Amino acid sequence: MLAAFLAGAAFVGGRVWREVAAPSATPPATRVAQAGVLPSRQSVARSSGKSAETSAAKPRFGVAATFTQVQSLVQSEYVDPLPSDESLSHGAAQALLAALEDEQSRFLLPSERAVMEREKAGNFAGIGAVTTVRGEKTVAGFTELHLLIVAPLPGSPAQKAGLRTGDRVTHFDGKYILPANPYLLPSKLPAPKNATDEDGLGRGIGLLVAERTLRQQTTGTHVLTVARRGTKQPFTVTVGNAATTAPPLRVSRVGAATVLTMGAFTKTTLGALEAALRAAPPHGSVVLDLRQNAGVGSLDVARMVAARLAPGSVFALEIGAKGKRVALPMPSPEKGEAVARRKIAVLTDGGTAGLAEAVAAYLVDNGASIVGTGRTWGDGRSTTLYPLADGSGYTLTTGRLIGSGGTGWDKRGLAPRLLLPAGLSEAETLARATRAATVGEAMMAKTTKGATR
Amino acid sequence: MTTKRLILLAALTIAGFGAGALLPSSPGKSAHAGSDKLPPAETYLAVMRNIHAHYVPQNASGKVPDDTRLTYAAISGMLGVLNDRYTQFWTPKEYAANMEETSGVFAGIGTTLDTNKDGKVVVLQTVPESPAAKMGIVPGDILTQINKRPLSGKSLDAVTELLKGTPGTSVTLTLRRAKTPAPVTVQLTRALVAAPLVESRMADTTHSIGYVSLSLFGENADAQFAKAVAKLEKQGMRGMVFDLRDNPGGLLTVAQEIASRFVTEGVIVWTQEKNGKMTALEAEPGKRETGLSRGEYPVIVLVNEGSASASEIVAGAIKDHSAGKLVGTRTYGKGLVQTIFPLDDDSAVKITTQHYFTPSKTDIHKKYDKRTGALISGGIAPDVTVQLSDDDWFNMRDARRAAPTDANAADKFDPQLRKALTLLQAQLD
Repeated sequence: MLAAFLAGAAFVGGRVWREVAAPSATPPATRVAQAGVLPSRQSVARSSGKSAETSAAKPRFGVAATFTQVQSLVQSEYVDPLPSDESLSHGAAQALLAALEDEQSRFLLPSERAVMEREKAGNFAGIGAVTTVRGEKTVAGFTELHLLIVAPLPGSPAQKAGLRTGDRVTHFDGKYILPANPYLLPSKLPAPKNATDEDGLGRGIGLLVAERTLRQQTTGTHVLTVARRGTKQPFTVTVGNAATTAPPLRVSRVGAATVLTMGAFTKTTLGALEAALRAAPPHGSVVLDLRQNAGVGSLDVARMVAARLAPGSVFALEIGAKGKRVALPMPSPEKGEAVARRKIAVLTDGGTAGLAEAVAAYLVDNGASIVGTGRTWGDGRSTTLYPLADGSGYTLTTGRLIGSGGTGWDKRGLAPRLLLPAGLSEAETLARATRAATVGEAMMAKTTKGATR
Repeated sequence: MTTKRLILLAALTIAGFGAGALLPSSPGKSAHAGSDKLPPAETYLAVMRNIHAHYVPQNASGKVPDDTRLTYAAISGMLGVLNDRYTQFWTPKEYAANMEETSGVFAGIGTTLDTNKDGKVVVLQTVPESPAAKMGIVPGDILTQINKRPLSGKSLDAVTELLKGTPGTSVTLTLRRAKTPAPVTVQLTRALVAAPLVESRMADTTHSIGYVSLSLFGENADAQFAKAVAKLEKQGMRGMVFDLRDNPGGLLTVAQEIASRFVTEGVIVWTQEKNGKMTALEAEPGKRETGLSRGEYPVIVLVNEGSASASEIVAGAIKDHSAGKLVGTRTYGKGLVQTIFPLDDDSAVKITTQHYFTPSKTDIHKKYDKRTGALISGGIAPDVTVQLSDDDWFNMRDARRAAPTDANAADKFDPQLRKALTLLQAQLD
């Protein structure tokens, strides 16, 4: 089962994404007879009972019959032509998932699922940033949902506009982004034609609508109002829309050390990594630069990356439904292949998220140093994407990852063992990371004045 | 056992977004054409199974919401796609509450309460034969304690909840009465009480003009209405004001019954089912024993934008048959009929099953311009338009609170009623 899941595993938006196979054409097993006569209570019960028996997978919960009863009554009795079954399914799934009150478990329209799958392959549109929705407790005890920038991609409109990790987008084109219950609003929230400022709808925009728009368009610009920690007043920026591709691996040298700047875990990443390692001095140390790597790409590539850098048998542990722990195994090495033990430092920042955190945790558990200016983003949730036959789909939070050595990062982030002071030049940052890789962070901590925690 | 199905025409069971949301879903899409791709029940079951098998809850309780809650959400979500706010799912609790309201029977002591100008809870009316009436509670009594607990700071709704309860249980009230200095303590036994839906009185004793108002087309509304009319006729009623303002509707059968007391022959309302077939609901025989039915005196019906569905059926029938004049403002404009289907787990679903038309086949349902959102048509226009301002409303409320026992206290601040009385007086003089 797990292997089947992992076949299509992917990672996007600061989370581990899995995908399960789309259902094959399913028989309408739970449909009930739709005679022209009004069904009585008994006839509805009887027909739904019968269909449940003939259904391939009989529901194990009693209340399921109520759904079937309502569906059949609506189909037989509703006075006007009904919307398509797809639309009815979308409405049902959307509200059902909304009742979970979990911002990562949600229904996806076909267009939304397409965006997700495109981003998984490293192809972004809109402002070109990995964004996420996070619930934050307010002073009054309510949970407000915030639209946050995890990391803008290099060269993206978001980066050009100066957006940064942790920025909270509060307004979209002057409209306040509603911070509550976006999943209970219709997904295709129409802008009410005659809404006024008085009812609040004239000035507001659903959070999901805002997020979707930021990720879908390729032309035009948007004005975003941004709240940034450490900046007193929210400010506005004008951001363009363009196609942006997740960055390829960049390789550089600092002395004998190889610096691998890895911004994503996409298809090209692995080949480039192998070439870089072949070209590197056999026992030279390596700095894996995962700064601003928000985990775009696939779990498979991330595990291969980890396997190339440090041998091991378990990539991470997943704590799933009902607390069940499952080990996510490392890919078995190919014949005749030996992974050299190298001295490694992982360079992180606040935009190191999700899969990148998993890779960092794996390397740390296998002896690498972790260097950075602060904690990583802190998202260890694994989310599964379940496709539906018409191109729509839905996501469910299906677990939380921790390192095989027990290192967890969900919500807290990973703390660098060697904390770099803020404001270091890029050259100095790489130099220190290289030294951490070569001599070990404990030594570095002793010798670097004022740079320890 | 046969299923009890109720035809309902209530416009205000849910206060939602007004404009636009009332139009039925896009036409041309059939329920069955090319729709086998994603049957809703299949989708629902698939999501439920995956939640059961794989979902890790993220809420504060750390628990997956129970199947019932998730299922009810899914049902409401499916019905939401119809874009028809009258088609809705009721949980068992909501169903029971709605049925109590429609049946007009509740378990309690049988008083109508309001707050007076000092914020005290005052008895406005008692239902005849109710526990309150039997124990001598009278309009004007001020309620200070329930079961020896003071009521200060409690809302009217909270007080009403305290008075409701299982029939046979007892409740102790402490009252202050105008002419009795010491507080009065009364112990009552709760019983099933038919809520008063009809209020009636002689509004103009000089001209013998009666006033009858109906707040809801509940199950026993026709009987209460007939009784009120008979009483006023006994007192020599020569003209009648029938107040349907802010009456949100109720049962279709009751609308037919009450309309039959004004219109004794012909079509009361046309209904149209999903197959397009029009059916006439005709005036019921056997409602002709009164002066009202014989057309012995003029009738004016008060309507406003809160007069909806069943109210509009009655007002529309009276207007189309020239059985009386309408005074007030344009009615709400709800031309849909819902049927309530009880479900196996004691929940229910209310589904729009019919359109209706007035006897002249006018569709009174609100229609909006799809592009601009502007109202194109809908509702029934009164013969004489008279507005009621916010100031009027507050004046009426204050007058009632100042004199809770005087049923006519607010009349002089009610421009719509005053216009109706003036028109009738001119006819009678």
